Amino acid sequence: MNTSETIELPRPARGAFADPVGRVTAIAGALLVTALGLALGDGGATAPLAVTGAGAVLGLFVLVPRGVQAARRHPALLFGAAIAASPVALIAFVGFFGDGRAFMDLPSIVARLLPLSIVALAAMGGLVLVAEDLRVRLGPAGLTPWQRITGTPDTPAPWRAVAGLALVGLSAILALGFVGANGGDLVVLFVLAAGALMFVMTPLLIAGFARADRARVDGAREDERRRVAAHLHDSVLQTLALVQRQAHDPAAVSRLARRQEHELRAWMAGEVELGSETLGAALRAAVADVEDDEGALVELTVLGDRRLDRATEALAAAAREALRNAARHAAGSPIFVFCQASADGAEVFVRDEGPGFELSSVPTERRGVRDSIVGRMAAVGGSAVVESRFGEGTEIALRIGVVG
Amino acid sequence: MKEPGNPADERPTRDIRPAHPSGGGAVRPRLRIVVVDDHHLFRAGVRAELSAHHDVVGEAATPSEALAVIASTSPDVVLLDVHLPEGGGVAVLDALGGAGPKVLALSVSDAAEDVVPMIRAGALGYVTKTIDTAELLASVATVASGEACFSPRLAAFVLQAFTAPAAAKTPSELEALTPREREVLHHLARGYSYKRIALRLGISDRTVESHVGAVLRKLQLSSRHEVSHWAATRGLVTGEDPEP
Repeated sequence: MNTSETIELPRPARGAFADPVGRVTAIAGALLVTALGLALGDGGATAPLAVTGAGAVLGLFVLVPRGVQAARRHPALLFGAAIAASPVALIAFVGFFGDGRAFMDLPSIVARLLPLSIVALAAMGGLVLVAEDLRVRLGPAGLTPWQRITGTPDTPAPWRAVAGLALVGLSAILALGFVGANGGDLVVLFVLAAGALMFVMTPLLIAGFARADRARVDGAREDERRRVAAHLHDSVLQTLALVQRQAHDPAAVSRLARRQEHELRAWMAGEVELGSETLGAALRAAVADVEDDEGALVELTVLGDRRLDRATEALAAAAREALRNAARHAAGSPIFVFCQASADGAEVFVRDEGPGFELSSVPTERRGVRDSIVGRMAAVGGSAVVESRFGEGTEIALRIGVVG
Repeated sequence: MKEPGNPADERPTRDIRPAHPSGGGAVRPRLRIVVVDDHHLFRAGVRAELSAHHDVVGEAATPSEALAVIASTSPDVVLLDVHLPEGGGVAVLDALGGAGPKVLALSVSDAAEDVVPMIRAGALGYVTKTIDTAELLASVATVASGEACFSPRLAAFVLQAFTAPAAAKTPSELEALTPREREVLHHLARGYSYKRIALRLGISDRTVESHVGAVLRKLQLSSRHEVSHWAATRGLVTGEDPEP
């Protein structure tokens, strides 16, 4: 976007005569020089005047579109032009009200204000040249300060700025000479100059800052893109490669795809960066492990979340144990895990649609459930309820605190 | 510690659907289906999966295409992706405005904020794109019969939608779930089928179904209420509440 902005700017010097605008300018200049020559050569008055008029008209052909273009790109220039023209209005005002004869004395007023407005216009032109140069110079990022001053093949040396500064300086000297020792007018002139400078420079500075800002945002976006690309490379692309190599084994492909899905979802949820410090993340990890190890199919739903502490860690560990149990004893049946968590408590249901069993018939020496699940929950003040019946699957409800 | 399984145990299913008296074992009629998804490969896959049992009469990749295809083919069921360009699946549902075919939402997302708006806008169910063929067929059949197709995850999301603080401050009495409805949803979220819920709560299958239907209506009504409330507070609608 920086480049598109700088491309449309008129480029000085190089190929000036290939450009129709440049050609018209050159002809206008030549005509004006001819007029000067005719006037100095003591010819009649009409010939130089006619040639001057032709040159001026041709010059306007170039200057008016340029001025419109510049004003559209840089509306502040209109303010600058108004300020440059304001001495005319100011002097007319002072002349009209400060001097009763002003109305009668119109030619003398014109004679007084004409030089000053010419000087002001020259100053204005100088400022525009400086501003245009600064636009080009502030545009492309990544230039050294030295390059900014001397220019590069793309951004030529600051000839325009130098010419502009010369014009401004000349105008200042002329204006001082015109005003003379009159202190009040001097102050007015300085205020005007400062105002014009401010109007031209402030938008430029803001544009410069905005550009720097945009460059920084672009940089951050690029970093983020690289980070995402790196992650996708390490995860999804690796998995896709594995899938291609194991295309003959549908079970393996399915397992890989699910594993990758879990990882990607966890990454999108920001859990990889945060570490698995919440109950939801711990459950997701448990589900992924059990699906991998036991080849089970688990549907996990987590509502709300909670940071891991002693109680929720026990809850997650008990849920993991319940999941393993379900995967082993209800092989082939889907497993549902439903977790609701809030600041006050959490509950996790692990349900399978396996064959089910009668609790009373579980032999005392095979009490994995009782110790690893019920015991764990009791140790943190929670509860574990196992519900099962023949033919109706098994549900283990784990709770800590109070839920909804 | 497990006893050998009871052979009479019904085939476990991952997806929850109503144990409809007419549904079990009967030959399902071929349905006219439109698939709306912006991924060409996914549409092709679904078409291949469904074509043995149903007729895929149209496909679309954007909401405007979808509306045109639905208008010209008048299908029984629309499989509608949540994430579409130009406004997503919700745009299609809004344009249909409750009329037209039954809609089953499809998504790779398992985020409530993606899924619940689809249900609110009028979809009868939601399934993830990783669903297998048998489940997809069952879900399509459920939706085609006009029943809500509440997977455990969708039930959980809906439960959450009703318990969220935003729902608490809405004025309408309609929006609160009865304790029974809450209980049914909670069981659905835990993976119980309608039949099992009926057995556990000591009510009939039909009653479970009607509870789920009531929840769905409240959810859709609450969104309509929100819209009318929104319109009324901004002076877009004057006069009485347009709610029935």
